[in-house]
Amino acid sequence: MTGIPAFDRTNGEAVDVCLVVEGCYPHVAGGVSSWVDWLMRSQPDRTFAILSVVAGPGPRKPLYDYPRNLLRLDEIVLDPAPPKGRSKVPDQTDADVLISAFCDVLSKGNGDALDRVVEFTSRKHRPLRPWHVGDTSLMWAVACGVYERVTPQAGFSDFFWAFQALAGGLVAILSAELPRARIYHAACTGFAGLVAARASRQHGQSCILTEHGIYTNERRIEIAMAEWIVDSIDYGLSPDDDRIDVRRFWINSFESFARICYEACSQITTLFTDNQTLQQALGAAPERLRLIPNGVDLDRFTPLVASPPNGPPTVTLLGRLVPIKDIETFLEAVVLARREVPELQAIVAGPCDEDEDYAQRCRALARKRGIDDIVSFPGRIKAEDAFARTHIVVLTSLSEGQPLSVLEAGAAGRPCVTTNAGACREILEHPLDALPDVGPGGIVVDILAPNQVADAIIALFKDPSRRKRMGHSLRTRIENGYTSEQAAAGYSALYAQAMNSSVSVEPAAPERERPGDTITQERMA
Amino acid sequence: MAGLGIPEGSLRRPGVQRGDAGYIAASAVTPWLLAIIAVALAQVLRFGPVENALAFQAYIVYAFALSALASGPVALVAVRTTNELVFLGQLEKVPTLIVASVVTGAGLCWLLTACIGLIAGFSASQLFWTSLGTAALATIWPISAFAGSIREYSWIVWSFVLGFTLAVILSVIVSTFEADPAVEFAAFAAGLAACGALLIARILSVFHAPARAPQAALHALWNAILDRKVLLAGSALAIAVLWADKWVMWFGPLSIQLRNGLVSAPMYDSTMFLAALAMVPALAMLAVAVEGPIRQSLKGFIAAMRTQGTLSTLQGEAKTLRQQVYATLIRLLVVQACASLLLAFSSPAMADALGFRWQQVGILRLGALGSFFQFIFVSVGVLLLFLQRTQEFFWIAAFTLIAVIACTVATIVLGPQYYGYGYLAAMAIAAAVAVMTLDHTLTNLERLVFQDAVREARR
Repeated sequence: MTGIPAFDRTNGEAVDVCLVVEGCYPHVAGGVSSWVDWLMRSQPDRTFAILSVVAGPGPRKPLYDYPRNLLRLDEIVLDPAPPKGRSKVPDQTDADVLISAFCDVLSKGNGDALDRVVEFTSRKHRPLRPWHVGDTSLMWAVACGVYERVTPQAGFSDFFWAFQALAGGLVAILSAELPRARIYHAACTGFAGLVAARASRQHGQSCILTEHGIYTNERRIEIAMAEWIVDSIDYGLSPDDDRIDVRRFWINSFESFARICYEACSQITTLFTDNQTLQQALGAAPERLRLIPNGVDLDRFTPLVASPPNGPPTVTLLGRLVPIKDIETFLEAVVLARREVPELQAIVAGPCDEDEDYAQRCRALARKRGIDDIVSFPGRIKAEDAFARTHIVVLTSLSEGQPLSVLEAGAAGRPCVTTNAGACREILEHPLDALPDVGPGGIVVDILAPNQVADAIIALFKDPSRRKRMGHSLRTRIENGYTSEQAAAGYSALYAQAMNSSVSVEPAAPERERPGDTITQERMA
Repeated sequence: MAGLGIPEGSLRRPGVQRGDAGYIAASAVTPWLLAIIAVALAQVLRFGPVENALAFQAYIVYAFALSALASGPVALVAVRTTNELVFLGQLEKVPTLIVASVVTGAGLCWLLTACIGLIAGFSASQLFWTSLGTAALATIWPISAFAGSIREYSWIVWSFVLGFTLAVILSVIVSTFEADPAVEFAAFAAGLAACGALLIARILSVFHAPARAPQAALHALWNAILDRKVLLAGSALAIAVLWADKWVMWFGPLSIQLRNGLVSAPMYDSTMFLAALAMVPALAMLAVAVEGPIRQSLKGFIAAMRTQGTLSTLQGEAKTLRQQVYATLIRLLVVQACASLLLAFSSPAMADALGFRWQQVGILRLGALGSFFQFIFVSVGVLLLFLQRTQEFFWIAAFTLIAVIACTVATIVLGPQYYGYGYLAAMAIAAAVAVMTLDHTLTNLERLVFQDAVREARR
């Protein structure tokens, strides 16, 4: 199995910005990956490095052409394959120090404790490495020690695997080599946020954070829904039960990671105001918070505004086929809407390879509900192509950041029906600062409510003038608050400010040769 | 969640019923006991010249060694893979895997015998009959291992009784025609193969499924072998341990070369075979204990993991398992010590009764004492395999093999008065190492199980 080949064209010079991303660019299409690609291209005068945090050794392949100002790319594998032969582990006598450090990092979000773990990972002699976690008597003692202190009533098996993932990932992050950069810019909290925090704490580098969705919240939803975690503590109805089971341990750990990241970052940006409330609740200092909404290239979509579609009434959901997008609710809504709009056609356009089982389930549902003749799954296609035959854009996500598909729909003058997730309501309904009220750009419904989605679709098809009015309103909203130029200017100012406060550039360790360097550099050339 | 390191499949069978215990004990020792009795009977009842009797005995000794060495490791790998397939519910893959492992073991054995025959200078006829007979004999070990894994203990016992009876009858009949001893041996092996045929019919009636292509079955077996290289190597080494002192002695001063070109050291071999009989009662009890209380304790440990027990629950279950294993071992060691001492004290009488030479009395005494330590090595090996500690099993087997070879060579160098001491010393050292290994394993069982699971998940 292979990951993305690393490359380095910095010639030993520091780049302006090291973007730290987790589980997205360059091997996942859409979402934050698209934003990363756009961000680098929108700042052509700045140089970038990418640190891509990934779960395992692969296989992965890049889905984007690298921009010219991306000079270096490395992966940090959270659970890397151990090297051949035995590597020496820290002494068993260090167990107590490590137990305290891991407890403080994982359950208290204590940045000083992070430094104590860094002492172990940066030692010249017997450094701690991620493959030691779970595979040495020292780290077994540490796992048992953390368990006894933090979750002594929880099921041990699930705790062990949670600790394996969290502590192993933490050690991987803290033992990875960081590219030289003036600013470290994390695209989320979690492990990526810890990289930025480490750069700040260890080297005094300027570090900023941009959260699209709130990582901690997304993990919370994921963990709350996880069937692979067994609930071994019955909390009953007691809100004050301070026992910690494995679900809480997971969530507490991600909250702790977020706290460490927020504490380290001088600027914390997000896409919409609701997110800032959550960030503050997790410990982000209000004075560091900023809003930089995503932007969309209006020119790409302007021709569509001028020529609305003539074909059959069509609704499109543009997004990855993954559970968090709740495609099933969309399909159920299509079933209901078809009763009132018999000519209805539906498109689910987005990559299917991220969760193939879910994609299969969606196709099976369409067949089962008898709508496979009106629903198409064309895979990943250009938004312009999809919108050219679309009347209404639908988004049924359970959780969102600031969905690009809604911005693009607005740029194309298409009204939207969205769930009340992320920035959707803000984009569609909130008053604009510099303009008179232009009316809503679509209809916002509850999550997991196919009836409401269907009703909204029906209402817009039954009232073409309302549909057109909403499409026009959304276009106006995008023009006035969500253009690429505005977003690029926001990040440019952010970087300028961060660079002014950046004090030093830590010299990098001598570069190791990586397999794949040559190939990648040739390809880049 | 990744696997927990110990496949549950091998633990799913119900606990030992009271009526099973006798059969388990008997099935553990029947093949061994009957082999010795059958060889003795075939010697007593057969007709023809004495040279033929020695050659016939040598064929049987070689065949038992080679068949176990060639088919035992493959059988162990296949049985463990079968357990996993059963656990995963992939029963349709089992019959062909069984047949493939039996055929592979027999094929390897055929090849090994042919090589030794060529080196010894066998005639074409001898080569044909001995390799055929040894290959047939090689089929019964994997088949009985599979039968054991599906708890058909009574079938094992009665098939072996029938097979060995047939073997004795056939070889005696052939000897009346003064045929080549190789043909007598082939007749003997045919009787045993009948026992294998009976057992495999029973096994296939349990795992009835349409046959798969032979290539697919061999491919599956090859993959299983690749996955379990350490188990394969460890079991080959452990089987070699049982024979290593004899093989070394075959090239020492006690060695004789028979007319068929084979070498052996009957004076040493027969004494040591007799000494090994002292392990029979304790081995039978070990089989019952492993299938009974130890299995139950291990199930408790696994259940604590699977039902999300707390760390203290897990540690409690591990402690129970540890205590169960130690209590069982101590009980068995008392039995083994009694058997070994009884044989050691009665050595002169035994030697008289069996017509041994006076030099063999000392060897028998040392062999009897050595069997005490060999039992420790064997029982620790069985327990380590039961706990899925393949790596540790491999290392103690390798260490013991080296110790046995080195010590036996040393006794040859030191002189005839030291024969038997090498085996005793090697087994004593091996037993100490084995016990330390088992203790380390049991003391760290929780860590080792999770550590293995992490390694498995990373593969």
